[in-house]
Amino acid sequence: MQPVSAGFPSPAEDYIEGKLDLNRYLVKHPAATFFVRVVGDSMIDAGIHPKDMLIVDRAILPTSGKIVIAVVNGELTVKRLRQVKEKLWLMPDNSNYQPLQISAEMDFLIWGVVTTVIHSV
Amino acid sequence: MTKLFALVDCNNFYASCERVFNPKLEDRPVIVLSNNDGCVVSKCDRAKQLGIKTGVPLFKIKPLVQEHEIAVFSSNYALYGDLSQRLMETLTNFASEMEVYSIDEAFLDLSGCISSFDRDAQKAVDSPLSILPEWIKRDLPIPIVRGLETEDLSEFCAEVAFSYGEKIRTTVKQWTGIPVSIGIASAIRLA
Repeated sequence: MQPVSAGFPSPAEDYIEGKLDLNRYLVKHPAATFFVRVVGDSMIDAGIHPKDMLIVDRAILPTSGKIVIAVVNGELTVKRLRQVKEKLWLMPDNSNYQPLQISAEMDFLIWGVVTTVIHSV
Repeated sequence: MTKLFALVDCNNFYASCERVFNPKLEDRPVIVLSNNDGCVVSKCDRAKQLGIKTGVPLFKIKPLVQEHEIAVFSSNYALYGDLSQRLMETLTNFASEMEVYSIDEAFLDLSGCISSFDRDAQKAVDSPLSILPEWIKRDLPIPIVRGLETEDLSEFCAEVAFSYGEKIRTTVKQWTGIPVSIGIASAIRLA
């Protein structure tokens, strides 16, 4: 309720909703959410372009089909995670790149799950 | 209700922070230097094993740094401050009250968070842990107890405390990338 000093109250006063807060809209777990800049075009068919910004949530369980930031032999990479029967794959979304099968001997972990791509036009 | 407190303390905080965004560093010893890169203020476990102590000036350990390819960092307080905030925010999910003690330590008041500690343990196991968010209630491994004898209560409490502490540790590591150690006891000075 707005205080009225003089004149007329705004006719919109009773209908005002909250403004869209992009932080609340896009970030579900603030303590676990990080922003990452994309290098390379291995995920271009997923709409992820070089220089785009990714919203990465470490609190989300990585499951097959999700786009993730993975660490392979110490290197960070963004790929789609796929589980086919007992085997785990990191799939690019660009036919110029090869899928990578994750073996037990590999130094591998999931750094976080990509929830949103921010792309400027 | 039984009083219960936890002390959460990060392991080698500054050095651990440097590893969060640089996974290659997991294989190398890491040290962080004071302002003006004078002396060592944080060292990972591997650097400790090499005999590097907090406060040692960098020039004294230069040969060691070269021999073992130790990664050396200037202090990056913007990074440490940000990760510290995330750590503390994550911890608020696990406690009814919290006191931030330093950049990498906090006391948690767990009283009321784990109703299994009430004397009437049989009933508590069955009742919901209403103060905790849904995902913690779902995943928390509460041991199932039937017909608990009084003399078993402290062992039961220790088990549940351990499970809860483990839950905090794994969640903090997952969400922020920082490894922590936790002490839980019935009085703050004991935690």
